[in-house]
Amino acid sequence: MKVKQLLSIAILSLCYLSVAGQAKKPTLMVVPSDAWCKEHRFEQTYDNQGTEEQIPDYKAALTSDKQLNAVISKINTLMADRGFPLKDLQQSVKSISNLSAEDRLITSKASGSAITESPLDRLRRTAKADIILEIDWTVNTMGPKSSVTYNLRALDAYSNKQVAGAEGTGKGSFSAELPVLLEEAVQDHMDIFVDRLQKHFDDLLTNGREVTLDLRVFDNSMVDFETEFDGYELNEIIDNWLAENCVNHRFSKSDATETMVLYEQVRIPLYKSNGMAQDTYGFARELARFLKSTPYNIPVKTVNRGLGRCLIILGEK
Amino acid sequence: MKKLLLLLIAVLSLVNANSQTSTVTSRSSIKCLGVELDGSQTLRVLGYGRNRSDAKEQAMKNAVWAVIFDGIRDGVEGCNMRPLITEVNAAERYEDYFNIFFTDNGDYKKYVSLRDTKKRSGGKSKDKIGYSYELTIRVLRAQLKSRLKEDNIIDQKDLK
Repeated sequence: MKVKQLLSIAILSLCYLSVAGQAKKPTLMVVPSDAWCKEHRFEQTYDNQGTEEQIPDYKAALTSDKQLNAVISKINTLMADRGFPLKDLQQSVKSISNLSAEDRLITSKASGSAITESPLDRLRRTAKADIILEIDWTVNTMGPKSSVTYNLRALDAYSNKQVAGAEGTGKGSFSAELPVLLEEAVQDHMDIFVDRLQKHFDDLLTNGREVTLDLRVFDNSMVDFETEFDGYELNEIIDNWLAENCVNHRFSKSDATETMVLYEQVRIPLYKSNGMAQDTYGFARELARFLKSTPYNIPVKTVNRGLGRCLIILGEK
Repeated sequence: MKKLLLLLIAVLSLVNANSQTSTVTSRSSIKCLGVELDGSQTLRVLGYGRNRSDAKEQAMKNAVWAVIFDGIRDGVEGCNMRPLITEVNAAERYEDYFNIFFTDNGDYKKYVSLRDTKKRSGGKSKDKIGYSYELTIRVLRAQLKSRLKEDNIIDQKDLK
């Protein structure tokens, strides 16, 4: 009887510890790497202002390669087992198809310009995944044994930085099933991988999202970044505004001339001061409103460039 | 039978030792245990101080601080992940106000309740420098929000 009681106490305390240890996790999405898409010819060509560029065709890959679906599903399961919420690439791609049809009909008021945006940007914007898990793998065969060499990278969708990685080759196995081989290969490194991911996400919550701001001027603008207001150059005024509005005053001015300024590692808060969620565009609009106000009175055009980058052009809308 | 008992005791002491090690090395940890549906949140909080009462007071301060500035990120779902003040660098901007608010036995204590703290539920551990104490605290978030609004620390029309 006492043993039973003791056992129940032990089980209850262990349950409590596991519940108390749960943490909020970032949202993730698994995609095949560019190299894998190129190797399997799942690419599409698009015209980037006269230059032909190749980009991965996820839709074609997902609809015609069963192995890819199995691999994505396996990584999804391994991550879900560790308590990370996952977005499904296939569903996201479907959603993008619908949105791109609408986007094609949108043009600018002034010049009739169409929207230009790469499918990867659209994918990231639609899916709203904080982190993209990029997987690349090769099946090696030696006699009756097979193994998998894999490379799994976690990329921050905002800064495009690699925040965690795992790579290696599994032990040879007689199993020919790719998901089984992959699981065998990945298993040992998965805990360290998710631990690094969690650390990165904790850093985001504490120090804000890391984004990039590009500042330019239209050629017909009356001001540039050296124009002085009350003894301070415009770029100094913007520096001061960023220092005031970045988490822990953290940003880095990577490059600056009279016509352009590039701010990298700009740590934006996760929330606006009114409690709404903040994104790069929202933050850039706050800067635009500041520049539009007295005494500067500068009209500003703000262009979103994916999740973590914004272009701010001074002089006109 | 005896072996089984000994094994159980060994497992439990190992679990306990593990949690104690983490309490001393990490001097602040906050986990959500649940919400009371009246705007208050029950938290498991770690405090560190020179003695037990100091550590307890520090735990209460940590709990209120987290609700105001950090949001509750660990533990069960339900507690507000979003902090009460979302203004950037708010701790620095309102430093003078909060220095007074968080003095020992200061106003922050009005927004803390130990009603959910069970006897002998505190996790304790010592090291050469001080004492760490983990206890269950209820933070009266709704009342705290009203106070911060009254004192114009958060805007009256904000979403929080």
